[in-house]
Parts: sequence; structure tokens; C-alpha cells
Amino acid sequence: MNKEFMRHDTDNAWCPGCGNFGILNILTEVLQELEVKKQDIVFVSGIGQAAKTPHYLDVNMFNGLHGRALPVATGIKMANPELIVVAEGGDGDMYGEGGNHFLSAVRRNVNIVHIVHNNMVYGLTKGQASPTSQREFKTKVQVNGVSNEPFNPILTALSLNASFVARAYMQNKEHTKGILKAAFLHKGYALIDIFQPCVTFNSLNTYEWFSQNSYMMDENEHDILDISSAMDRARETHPFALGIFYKQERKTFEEYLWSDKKSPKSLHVKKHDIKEIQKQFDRYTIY
Amino acid sequence: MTLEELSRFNGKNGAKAYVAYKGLVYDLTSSDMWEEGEHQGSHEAGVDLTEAMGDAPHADDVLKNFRVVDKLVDSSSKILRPKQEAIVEATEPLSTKETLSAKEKWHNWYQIYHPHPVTAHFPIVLHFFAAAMDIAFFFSPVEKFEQGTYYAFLAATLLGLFAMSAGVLSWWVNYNFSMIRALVIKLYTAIFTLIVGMIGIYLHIIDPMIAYKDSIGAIFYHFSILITVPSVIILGYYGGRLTWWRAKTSDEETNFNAPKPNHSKTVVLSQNDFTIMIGGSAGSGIKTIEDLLTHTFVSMGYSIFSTKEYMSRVRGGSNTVQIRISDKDIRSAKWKPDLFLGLDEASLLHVKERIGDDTLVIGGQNESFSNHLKISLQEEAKKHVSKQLVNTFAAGMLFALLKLPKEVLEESLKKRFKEDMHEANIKALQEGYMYAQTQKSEIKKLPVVDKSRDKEVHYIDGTTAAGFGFLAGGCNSVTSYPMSPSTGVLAFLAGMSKEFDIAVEQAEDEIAAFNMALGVWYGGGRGLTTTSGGGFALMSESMSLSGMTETPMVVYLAQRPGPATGLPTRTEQGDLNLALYSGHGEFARLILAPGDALEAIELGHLAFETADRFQIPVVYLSDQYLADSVQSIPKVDFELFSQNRYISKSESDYLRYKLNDSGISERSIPAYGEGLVCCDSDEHDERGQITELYKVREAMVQKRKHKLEQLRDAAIAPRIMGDGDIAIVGWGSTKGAISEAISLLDNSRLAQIHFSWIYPLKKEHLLKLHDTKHIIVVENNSNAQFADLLKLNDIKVDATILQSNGFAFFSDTLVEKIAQKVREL
Repeated sequence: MNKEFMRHDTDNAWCPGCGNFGILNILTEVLQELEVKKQDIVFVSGIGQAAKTPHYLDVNMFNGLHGRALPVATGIKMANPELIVVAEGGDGDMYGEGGNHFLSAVRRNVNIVHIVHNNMVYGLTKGQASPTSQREFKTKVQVNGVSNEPFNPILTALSLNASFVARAYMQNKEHTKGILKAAFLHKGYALIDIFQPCVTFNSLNTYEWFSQNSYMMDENEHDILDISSAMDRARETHPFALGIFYKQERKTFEEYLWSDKKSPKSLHVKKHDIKEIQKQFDRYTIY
Repeated sequence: MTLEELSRFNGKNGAKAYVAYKGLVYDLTSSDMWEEGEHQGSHEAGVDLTEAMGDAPHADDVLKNFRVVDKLVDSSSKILRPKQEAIVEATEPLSTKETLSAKEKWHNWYQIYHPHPVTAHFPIVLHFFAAAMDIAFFFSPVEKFEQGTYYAFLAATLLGLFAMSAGVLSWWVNYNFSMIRALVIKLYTAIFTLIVGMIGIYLHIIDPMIAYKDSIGAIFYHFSILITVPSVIILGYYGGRLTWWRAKTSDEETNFNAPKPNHSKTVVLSQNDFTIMIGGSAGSGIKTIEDLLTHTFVSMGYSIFSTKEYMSRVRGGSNTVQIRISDKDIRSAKWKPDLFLGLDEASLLHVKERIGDDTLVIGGQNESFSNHLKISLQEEAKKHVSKQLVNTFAAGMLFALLKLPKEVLEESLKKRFKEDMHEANIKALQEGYMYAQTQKSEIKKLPVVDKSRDKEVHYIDGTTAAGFGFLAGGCNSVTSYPMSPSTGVLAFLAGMSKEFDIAVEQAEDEIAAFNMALGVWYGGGRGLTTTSGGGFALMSESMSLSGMTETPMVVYLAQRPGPATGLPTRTEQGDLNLALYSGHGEFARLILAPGDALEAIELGHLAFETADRFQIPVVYLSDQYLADSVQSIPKVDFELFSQNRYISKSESDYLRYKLNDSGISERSIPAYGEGLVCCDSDEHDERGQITELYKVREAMVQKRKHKLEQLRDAAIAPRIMGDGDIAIVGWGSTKGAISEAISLLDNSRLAQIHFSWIYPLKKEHLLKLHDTKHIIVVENNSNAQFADLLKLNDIKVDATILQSNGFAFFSDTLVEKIAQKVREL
């Protein structure tokens, strides 16, 4: 196995058997198979166990604040639309703390890959309910079990007319790889919600539970261009549908941003024309 | 005392009025001829008048009535006296306005009806006439000449009595029975004329045929008629001299505001400016009229300053705009306008307390003011044109009242208004102009335009100035969540994004706005976010992220009064502590606060340069007042703003947080070189990877701390104006008001020290404060936040002048506040 994108000089903090390892491996393989230059890729993450993934990858990285990966990723694309930007984090990070940013990122259609490790529990803070926790799931805080309706990121993204929506289970390695690759190749915002068991703090949603409660959509039976059937599939639970729910090509945030002129390769390379500033100043200030 | 000490007793703002004459210092404070330390508009207290006395219309014996308080000594031989002593004497309480005394009432009455000049001309003419008839009688001694002479002389003498009574009244109310030379001559001459007149009449009564006779009595009779001619000429000459004295000594035109022999004991601001305020509801067009008037006045060569205060509502309420017109630059607002135009009744209620005795109020019928044209502007506009055009109707009225040509206003209107609006608005303007001409309203003359001024005058508001500063600083992205009063900068840069490469996005919230900007900086751009206090509070966590990841950042924070929603459209300097202490943990930051439009540009540029150079967050503190006020600005040469780039190309072994002596590591960006750029919000090692090694932690803490010291070294010194021993210290937008207040106070003990680089403060820059005897800090908040920051830097603050009512400081009211604090020192 070639691990060109794997970083070996950092100390991994995940528990043995954590589903995150599987996702990390899949990612390194996908990046290698896509034949991208590591200097051109930026991983942006927030805080959480999943948000540590960029530390273990040999790429550019901005590990910011809990819930705030998406706005940073958006900003990076504003400054340099040619970078490949990935926002990665867990369900608490992306759907809980960063929920508002999630809604806006989908609507903006920023050309990024949005990877959410969904283990239905808070790992870093040791086992409280997450937005995707199933009802009746008991924790030290939710002592009588979770009472909130679980957040459905797939249906939410579809309702906002997301341009690429998918769900995977990391145990289905090739399936997940295929979806991830499609997400990277997609022009526009791409959400991949990846099921991933937490072996330490979630005794309910185990490897076995995910296997039993999910199924892969048959590509011949599901039309990924049909948003209505995508929404029907997204409503299904126990088992949860896996695969690409929906995909469409539409104008991206960056294309809108620079629609009336040629997009600068990077804001870094351009300077404002001083003579133009002078001209505008005179236009504004001479009464 | 020395001449220097003497100069402090200039009679202004409660200081005593001393003058020196032949080595003695006289106290003229009690003299009505020396109110506010000024005499006849041409002499000022606080100086040696020995030479000037020679030219005076009165003898030096006028000084006999006043107390000698000291001897004037040469400064080289002066005995040092503590300065404090001088100021104690110099600052007697300002007498606030008392109820009008009988004399003051008479003074007012006299000013309106001026009976002496009215009555004096008849006897003068009649005395001339009588003398002419008498001369005619010599050549042709017929009865009609004799009769004409006598009756004209009789009438002249009787009417002379009236003129004299009025003259005595004038002598009392205007000159306090002062025995100055001109008045003494007039007095003796008048008495002489009256006595001679009465003798002449008496002689004619005893002998009606006396004119025809050759007796001594007859000679005296004719003499009395002829001698009154030179005596009335003397009376007239000195009367004219008293009246026109000021005109002779200074240009009549510029003298509109020269101190009158005024009864008012309140502070008289002798400044060549005229302040107009216009009040109306939101959406009633006061913004349009402000725009039209400011452009018109500027086109006429005036210097203007305009500011506004408005309610947080889109329609209705009561808002005002203030336009100050002058022959020189003004950088502050006034509490009391010279003229108030009330477009509706509510606006008069709104500004009631700001109307002074001298303010001419146009419009409004429910309230009453001393100088008030009580009409409903809306009704008049409706009568003449239509209610909707009340704003241009009022503008026309204003121009008529100011005796300015309406053509200029029409030209300006054609330039500012859309073409289909021209006809109706020009008609409204003309109707307003004509209507005002039929109204009797007294108004001060406008100052005269200084033709020598630079033709190319620029005007800008604080919002646009900040925007240009950011552009000059290379800002190429703005990500914000709209919030008053900061949104103007967001809109300005969005408007500029067509001309320049600026990436603009309205974020879903302030947290996103800040984080997007950090992404922009990380990606190689120069990002800005704009917000006000409430939004900045949400950005607190992101400030800390900028500090930890050492990602540069610039925040435009336009303050408004809090807490919470507070007064959304008003002003305050209440967020200094928020800016100073926002964000968890310890990290370097820079806080800048421009004091005027030029600084707004300079600091906008500096904010980006410094953020990039030191890799720190920079908070640019403005406020609603600065953001919304229009002021003059010199031509700015943008070529002078350096366009530095601090991004380096990375080698394959690039380390984002490489430790070095300066604490500032080379900053690279993704895809620029062979290296990888890793930033981490966790404590990190040189690579940008998580670490908990305590030694690395210590090194990184020192690295970030060292940046603060580097930054401190780069600090800009506060502006020091004047070298008095009482420092009036301010920061940010209060600069103009403090500066104008100090110049009005005209007290050489006062110096202004103004900070625009707020934090971190450099020790060397505070030396002046340590050397200054007294420090008074002026702040637009209630907790004296900057004074606290000074105290942390071991500065002793003697007094604070604070205001947190939603208004900025007004120069005219700040004068009194400073005078008060100086007295209390």
C-alpha cells in the first residue's frame, strides 16, 4: 500500500480500532489515485477526534476552531480558487457547533469537499450525545436517553439544493473510495457523511450496528439526478441508504464571486492599481 | 507678573481680564467695555496696551477706575511663581445665565429700536436749516427768513432734548456711563448746544423782534443760531465714530461675529463659522437637502463639516443633520446651531434644548423660541408647491435668509438631482426663496470665503476614508455580517469590487465572517471583516484563533452604544476594553483608532501593513460619529503608501512557526513553493503540529509575547499640540472636538495629547504625559476605559470628562466642561 499522503512524524491520538483509521487510509489512497500535488491541497478542520485527521496527512492544513472549518475553507477558496480544499470534521463539529455554517456552505455551493465523520457521539469530550445520536441513546449527560430527533444531514443538504450529497460507511472501503473520488472530481460543494463507529464511547452504534442498519443503493435503481427520489432515500432509516443521493452541476460560489471578471489565480499575486485608487479617491472626494 | 503670565488673564471663559499700562497691571474684569476680554473688537486683554493707548479715542485716565493688581516685570527678572497660583486667579467661576436685569432688558430694547440715531438726525438737520435761514436773513432781512430761522431753531432745540435723552440711555446701556473721550466730548457738546439753544429761544420770547435789532442780545441771538452748527457737527462726528469704530478697524464683512456689547455672560465662541441644523423624520428628505447644501456651499468656496444623528428606524422619528460652514477647516460638531430648519413639528420638540437665544428657528408652530419664524414649513410648501417638496422649498428659504444667490443652488441641484426631478424641485426652491424674502428674519452674515484656499478641496466621511485606507493597504477581501454603523465600509468595498479584485461575501454570522477572513489571509489574500460591538463580541473566539495561528487579520469595529443592542444608530467609545481584552489566552494585538478622515485613511493602510508584518489581529476602532461625519481632507497621494508583501516562498523543509529572535516566522501560503503550510489552533511546534511538550509551549508563548514587544517598538507617537502643563488627552474620534474646544479656550496652559495608536503603548511616547503637571482624559464612554489603560502604564490621571448619552462631544459644550475641570484641578 502506497501511503504517500500519510504523515509519519506525528503521534496519532485515536483509540485502537477507531473507525477514523479506516477513513484516513481511504483518504490517502484516494488522494494518491487522483494524482494531485500535495502542495495544492488544503485540509481545514475544526476540533474533535475526526478534526485531527489533517494532522496525520502530509498536506497543507489549517486546524481551526470547533465548528468553524467551513468558513475558513470558504475563505481559502476566495483567496485562491485553484486550491483543492477539504473541510473535515465530526458530526458534533460540523452539524452541531457549525450548523449554521453547514447550511450556508451548502447554499453557497463553494467548490470544496466536505467530509463528516459520523459516529453519532461526542468522542473528544468523552461520550455525550451528538446531533446525529439515535433516540434512547443513553450517556452520562443524556441519562434518560436522547430525546431530540436525530439530525438528518442528507435530507437537510438536499432541501438546500446541494450539488453533491452522499453517505458512506467506512467499512465498505471500495464503495467509500468511489464516492470520495467522485466528490473530489465534482465541481461544487460535495457532502460525504461517513458512518464510523466509536469503539470507546458509543456502545450502541457499533461496527455490527452500522452493517446491519445500512445498505448500498443500487446505481441502476437510483437516479442520482432526481432530487425527489434522493429525498425519499434520505428519509429512510434503519437501514440507512449509502451511496450518492444526488448530484447536479451548478454555478459555484467562486464562479459567482469573479463572474464579472477573470478570476485571479490567487489574491496573493495581485496588487491594487494605485493610480486607480487615486482616481477613485478624487471621484469620491471632490465636491 | 511677566508678559507671559499676563497673557493668561485674557478675560475669556472665566479668566480675569488684565491689561498692562506703563508698567502696571489693571484688572478690567468688571468693565462692560471688556467683556470676554475684548475691547471694541480690536483689543484683547492679557497684553501690554501702553503703546495702543496713544491711538485710543479715550485718555489713559479711564484706567483710574480700575484696580491695579500687579506690576509688569521683565521676564528675565521675574520671580518664579507656581503656575497653579496663576490659574486659581484666572479661573473664576463662569457665571451662567441669570435672569435679565433691567439694564439688560433696556439693552435688548435699545438694540431693536436704537432711538438715539433715530432721533439725533432731526435736530442736526434743523440746526443747519436755522443757520441757513439766518444767513439768508442777513442778506435779505424779510419776515419769512426771520420766522423760518426762529421756528427751525425752536424745533431743533426741542427735538435735541429727545435725542439727548436717547443718547443718555445709550450711554448707560451700551457704555455703562463710561467716560471715554468720544463720549465725554459728546456730553459736553450736547449740554452746550442745549444751553445755547435755550438762551436763544429765551431771547426771542422776550423780544420777538430781536433779530432785527443791533443790541448785544441780538448779537448773542444770532450767535446762538450759528454756533450750534459746529456743535452738532462735533456731536455727529463722534456719534459716527463710536458706531463705525469696529468697521474702521477690521473688515466689516468678516466681523459678523465680533463680540457685541453683549449682556450674555455665557461663553461666546468667536469663530468664523455658521452652523445650520435641519430636522425632520426619517425618509423626509433631510439627507437630500444635506447633500445638496454641502455640495453647494463647497462649490461656493466654503469649508464645511457635516454630521448627522438619527433614530434606529427606517421611517418616521426625528433625525437631524448639522452643516457647519466656515472659511477654515472644521472637524467637530456643535450643540447649538445658529439656524435650525424644522421640517416638521416633532423635530422642534426633538432639538428644543439645543436652541440658543441667538438661534434662528425656521418652522414649527407648537413651540416658541426667542428668534423664531413661526410657520409650518410643510404647509407653506404645500401652499406654494407641494408638501413632498418641503426639503427643496426649505433649501430655497435658507439661501434667501443667508442672502446668497439662488442661482448657485439651482446649478448645484441640477448636478445632484436626476433630470426628471429638476423642474419641480427648482420651482420649489424658487418659491421657497421668494417666500423667505417676504419674511422678516435677522440672520448673521456668513463668513467670507477665503479665496486663497487651495482650489482642490476634498471632502470625505469616516466610512469612505476607512474604505480608501483599506484599499491602500491592499485589502482584497471583505467578509462581514451587516451591522450598523459598520456596514458602510462593507458596502463601499463591495462597490469597489468592480474596479479592483476584491472578494466580497456576506457571511451567515460574525463568527463565519471572521473565520472566512482568516481563510483569506491563510490563502494569500488580505481579508477584512467589518462589525460593531455586538458582532465583535461574537468574534472574540476568532481573535484568539488569529493570535494562536498567527494568521494576520484586520477588523473594522465601528462602535455604537451598548450594552446589548444599545443605541444602534448612535455613537460611543465604549468598546475599547472589548477590543483590548477580547479573546481567550494571551496574544499580541494592535488597536488603532483614527481621529479624523486623514488618519482614517492612514490607519486603514497601517492596519493591513502591520497585521501582515507582525502576523497579528488588528482592531481598527471607529464609531458612528466618525463614520457618518463629512469633513475636509487634504489631497492624499496614494503613491506614498507602501505596498509591501510579507509572504515568502516556501522551501520543502518550511516550518510555519520557526523560532527566531524576532518571534516573527516567515509566513508562506499553500501552493507557493515546495513546503506545506500547517497552522494549528492547538499549541503547536515549529511545524504547526499539536504538541504538549512544556518546553515547546514555553518557547511558543515567548515567541508570541516577543511579537508584542516588536509591535510596541513600531508604535506611532501620540500627537502633541501645544506645550501647556495641563494635558487634555483623548483617543480616536474625539480629536476634532477637543482641538476646537482648546483653541476656543485660548488658555496657554492647555495642551492636547491625542492617541490614535491605542495599544500597545510605548513607554517613550508617554514621557510627555509624565512631564505634564495635570492630565484630563476626555472619552465618549462612562467608565474612562482609556484612562484605565493609561493608569496601567503608570500615568496619573487627574480628571476625566466622560459622556455616554449617544452623542459625540460638541466643541461648544466641551469648552465649558474643560474649563470646569481646569478650575477644579
